Amino acid sequence: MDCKTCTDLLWEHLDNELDSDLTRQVDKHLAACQICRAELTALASTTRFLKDHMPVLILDNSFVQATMSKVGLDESTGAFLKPIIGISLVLTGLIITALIIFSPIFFSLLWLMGNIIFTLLRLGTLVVKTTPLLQIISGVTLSTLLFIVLVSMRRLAVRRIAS
Amino acid sequence: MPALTEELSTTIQQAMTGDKLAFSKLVWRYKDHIVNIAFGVVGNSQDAEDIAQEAFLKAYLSIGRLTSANAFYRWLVKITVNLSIDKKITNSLGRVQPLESSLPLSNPAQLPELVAEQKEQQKLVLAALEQLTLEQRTVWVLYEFQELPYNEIGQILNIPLGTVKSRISAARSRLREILAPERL
Repeated sequence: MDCKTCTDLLWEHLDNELDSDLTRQVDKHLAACQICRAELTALASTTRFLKDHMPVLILDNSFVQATMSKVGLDESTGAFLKPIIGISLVLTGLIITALIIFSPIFFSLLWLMGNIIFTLLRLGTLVVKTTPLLQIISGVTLSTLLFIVLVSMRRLAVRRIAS
Repeated sequence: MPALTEELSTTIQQAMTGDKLAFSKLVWRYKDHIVNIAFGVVGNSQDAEDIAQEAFLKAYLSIGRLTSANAFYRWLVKITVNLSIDKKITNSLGRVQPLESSLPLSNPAQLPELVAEQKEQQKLVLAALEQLTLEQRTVWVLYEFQELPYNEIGQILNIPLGTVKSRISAARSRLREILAPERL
């Protein structure tokens, strides 16, 4: 083994990562080469120096208490918000669905938007304006979208309060 | 890496079901590991403590999504490393903090001369780490300081084994270059 190969393997040798054959070859080279021995000593002493003098932080119980109080804040906030927001979401969804299905104003608005979109896309006039099934589908779709937006907003709000 | 005993595994499983007391045991168990990983990456004790707290909070909020107790520590380290990297990048864009303020408080029972010497050595180590790239530093901290195996580091950082090895090797060579003249 030459010095270059030996030097390349010295870190792994220090970590005991080499297989037995390579370890034997490196040891044999080290026994005969003063320069590589000096390099090994230097590498070992660098590692030791870093490990000995790297500052080590030890946290006491106040860290656990502070962390758990933040965790508690999140939990209580979540517990308080969840039923209120949940009920509000269901009610909002039901009201909007009912309005879209039964209110002529909301349905006209929907019909007008549909017409604009269809005209822009050059698909012709919306001819299904009086189909009750489409009214229901539109209502449910809009309510679902609203529900998703509100749930996302709630999640963001809870996370913000927690952090 | 801390060994996962049967008791610890049970505690993690309890925490996964939302048991707050079990989670507080995990905070107690892993706090020093986590804060020292953060400190190794960011090099500032106050930032490290903030990161550790944020990491535990994030872990608490999403522990229900964890599929196995065995993956808890690796997952927690991953959260910590990501937060630490973000913090380090933010810090590098702002004002440079003096190394003195980065160090943890010393033990008041120690002799002042010893404390002064120890602080000098610690500043030397932190200054050397500052000269590594963020990638080299992160891998070095996990391997050398936290003694995680190569494959574990690869999984935490989502990088191949060969990249882990080459980054560790580059970090060590650079540290040897930086520190060798100082100690002679």
